[in-house]
Amino acid sequence: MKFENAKIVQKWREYVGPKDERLVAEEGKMYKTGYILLSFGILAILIYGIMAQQVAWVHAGANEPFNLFASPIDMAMLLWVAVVSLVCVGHQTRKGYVDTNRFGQTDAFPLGYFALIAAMTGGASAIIVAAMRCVAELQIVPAQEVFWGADLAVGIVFGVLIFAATLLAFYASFKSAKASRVKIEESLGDE
Amino acid sequence: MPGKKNLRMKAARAARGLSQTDLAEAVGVTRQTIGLIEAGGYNPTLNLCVAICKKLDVTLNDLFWDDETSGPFPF
Repeated sequence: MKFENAKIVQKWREYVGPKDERLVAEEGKMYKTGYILLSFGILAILIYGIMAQQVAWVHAGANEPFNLFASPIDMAMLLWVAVVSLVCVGHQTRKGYVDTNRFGQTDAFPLGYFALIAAMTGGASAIIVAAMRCVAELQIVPAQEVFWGADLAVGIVFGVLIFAATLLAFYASFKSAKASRVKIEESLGDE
Repeated sequence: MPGKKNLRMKAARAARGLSQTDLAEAVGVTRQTIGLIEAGGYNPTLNLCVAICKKLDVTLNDLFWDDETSGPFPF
């Protein structure tokens, strides 16, 4: 039996009455903003933590084994952000789209558009990672001991990796969404 | 407030002696939603447009078709 058909759910719906479509739409926008702020905020804090761990490890001589996360809780938080993001992408692709503009439901993968978005993401990530490493280093050593060049290089490497991963993720999402779209269109029974 | 005021809806509601609250309760939304539709601040779904028209005993054209621009009411 479906959850919405359960007697208790129907009783609850009778009690609370119909939903106001405007409030539902506005609530959706609020949760979208909240999701973006929360997930990007947690991600930025965790990445900063990883960078701080790594530069501290390098400046300490890199003799001890390197721990990526300061604590298992940090790892759990990063995994949770990943799970939440995957759930959102999964819901989106099941509905048959990957974006809300004209590239969201094309037949062929719009490589130029998604490459541009991935390049922007990779570029922004490179700058943020390099800047975070520099800031993290400045917390533990004077400016003349900061590895400016290495920080920039690490930023660029991360940027390139994130560009490739983002483009690949877009491609996988597009293929999955297209398959869902075909099923949805078949069930509509037109054309 | 974006969009154009829907004075025809306001007039149709008033002609039937309904307040915004009465109409809102009848179609299952809040009073603010009805107020925003009349003020041009919210673009309702077709389902809500139909519910409002049924309650006010008018057609969609009467309330939501704008003759001046020969198109749907530009909310």
